[in-house]
Amino acid sequence: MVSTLGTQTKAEGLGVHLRAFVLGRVAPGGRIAVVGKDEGLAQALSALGCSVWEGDASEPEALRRFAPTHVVLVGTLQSEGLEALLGSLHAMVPEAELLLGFVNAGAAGALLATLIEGAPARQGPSEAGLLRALSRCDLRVVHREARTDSAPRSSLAPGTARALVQLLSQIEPGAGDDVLLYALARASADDHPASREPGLLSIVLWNGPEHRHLFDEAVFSIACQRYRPFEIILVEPADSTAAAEDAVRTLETYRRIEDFAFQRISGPPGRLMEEAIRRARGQYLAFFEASGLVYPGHFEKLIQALREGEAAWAVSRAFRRVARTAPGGEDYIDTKIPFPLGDHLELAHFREHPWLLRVLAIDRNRIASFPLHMPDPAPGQAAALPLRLAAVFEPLFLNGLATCEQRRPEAALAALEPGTEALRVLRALHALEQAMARAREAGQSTKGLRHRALDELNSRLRHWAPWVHRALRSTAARWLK
Amino acid sequence: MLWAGIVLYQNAPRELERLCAALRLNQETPGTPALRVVWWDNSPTDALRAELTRLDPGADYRFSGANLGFGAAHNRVMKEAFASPSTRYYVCVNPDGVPHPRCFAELSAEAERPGRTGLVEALLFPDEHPKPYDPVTHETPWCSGCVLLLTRAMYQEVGGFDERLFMYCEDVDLSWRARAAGFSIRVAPRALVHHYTVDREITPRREMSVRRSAAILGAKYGNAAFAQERMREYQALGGEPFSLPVMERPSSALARVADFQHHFMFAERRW
Repeated sequence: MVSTLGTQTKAEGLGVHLRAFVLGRVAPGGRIAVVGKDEGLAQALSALGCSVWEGDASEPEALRRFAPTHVVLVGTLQSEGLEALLGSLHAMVPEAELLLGFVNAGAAGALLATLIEGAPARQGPSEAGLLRALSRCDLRVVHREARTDSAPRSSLAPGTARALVQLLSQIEPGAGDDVLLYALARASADDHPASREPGLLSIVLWNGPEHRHLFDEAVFSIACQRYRPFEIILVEPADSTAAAEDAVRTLETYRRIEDFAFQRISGPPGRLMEEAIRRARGQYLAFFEASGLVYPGHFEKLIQALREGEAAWAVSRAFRRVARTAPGGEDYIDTKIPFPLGDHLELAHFREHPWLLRVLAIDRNRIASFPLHMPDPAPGQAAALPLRLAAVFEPLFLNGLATCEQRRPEAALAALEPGTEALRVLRALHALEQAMARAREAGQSTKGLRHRALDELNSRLRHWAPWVHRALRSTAARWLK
Repeated sequence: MLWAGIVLYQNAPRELERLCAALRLNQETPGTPALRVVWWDNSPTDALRAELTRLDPGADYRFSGANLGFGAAHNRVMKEAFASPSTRYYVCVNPDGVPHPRCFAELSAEAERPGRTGLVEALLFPDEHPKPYDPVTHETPWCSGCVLLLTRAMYQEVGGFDERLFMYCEDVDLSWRARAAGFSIRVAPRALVHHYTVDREITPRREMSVRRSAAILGAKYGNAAFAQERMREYQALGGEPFSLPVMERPSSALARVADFQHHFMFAERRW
């Protein structure tokens, strides 16, 4: 027997969840307007010590006079007219918190049940639909809860069903949630995500305290790169060394050479990167940091490749600088090592080189609601964003010359965000097989081993005895002529 | 006083706009010597005059009327610059480069370091040139002409660029001559100039020009094998026939510094 959500049973379940949600949000003495009919809820609210008004949205004057602290929407929400309903309620009592719940029509489990078992499609809104409606009627989410129906809904093997649901959840985070409960309030101008500007590249530039002395050159390189139009979203964690005017002065200086827009986000570390992503206006998004340098064609090539192909994001090759500090305090570069090496971009590269986060460009028009969230950089931690992207969107690798540079050594071991290990990967079988074959070949190749051993020896020698290294290198160069 | 000479040839307006903005930033930077900028235009017409006047109404623009080549054009401005006793340095500036706001201040600071300074080059940015330099003394086998400072003393003793080299390799030749005359030639690691040519389109014209100059350089320093090989490459690319200068016998000082073992790098590369 297949369970189909969207039925009476689920609607009843929604009522129970909504009641518990509402009782958790209100306080004794609250003035609660219940729009729709739910006697049980009204009684429970009264018992809690709240004043309760029951009616519907067609009684605006009565609702206004009641001056509710909260408005609860009960019953089954319909997609059609939802935006108008929310908009009118908000207009009537703009200070009240709106509480509502619905069965998610976009839940992956229900979609699979429809697809595989022929179950009726769920009526009502999906989470994506609701969120779009909110942004248009000046509301923001102040609290969200979700309930998941764990009952099997199709004849698929549970493991397969779970994998499919998870894969869809990696693209649309609410896809695993069956019942959604929201508390909404009036949005301020800052709450709305920035409107998307076609063709614009938003460069989120992290200027952490450890690399602040490198900031000037990083901005110089960005200002002189060729892609236009672009904006810089400077992200600076606040600390004792942060001088807001320094960074802004630097940006203003380089705007005299090449004009670009910029914004500055600063504050205690935590959610600064999230805020930067929210404020980014560009169709294209890139992450960079003060320890890097871009060569002139870096963004131009990435974006051109995206435009000419179908990929959602592209990754270039970078140089890692091997340098020492000269007596004058400047870097003396001993060598530059390209990474990732080879003709193919492997998933493992994102673990080996967390700095690859800084060499990608994303076309946000091709990732739907994929969550771009990213923690603020912290020592020993690597963002999982490239791996999360790679799991569901195969990247385009620009297998050519390095087009940017990392000026500081990467941390030896960087831990990825929790949950990364459980990611599901959407990839063609032949691509997986080819990747495995390459890994096997690299593991078995004596030549590869010999090269790795030589590389290791070379690096150690360069580091510990640069004069010997130079002499050997000179000799080798003469022999090879 | 520091003179900056910029040799133009049909440059894009955007390029000039960036350079003018960068020069203004340099002039505002504390530590930058008094700067006089001369624009020498080798283009077939003087169309760039209007563009420069728009960007800098007081621009010192000189229309050549003929394409003299890079070195010959600089030699003319340099001669005028050093004719004035107040000129300490002459700086060649490529119009497709963007000097960092501190570029000229750092170049002159490097030139003031103790020693018999002949040439000081700005560090190419963001992808530094892989030729080596000494991290302590900053001495280097040759200096790039992208943004290159020449001292009065060196000019008086060694002269300017060899005008037989129309474009390319003239900087290598001047560097070798300066070194052979006992001058210190150095990189200024903090004087940056944004200049990147790695991803530029390879055109037969450019490739021929490089090889033609390299062949002449080989002949000048008596390296017949190098000269003939470059000449063969030049002809294979369809270059107009020309006669190589008579194979010279360089002085022992010149022979000691000339390095033809590293192809067009003219020095061992760091990466």
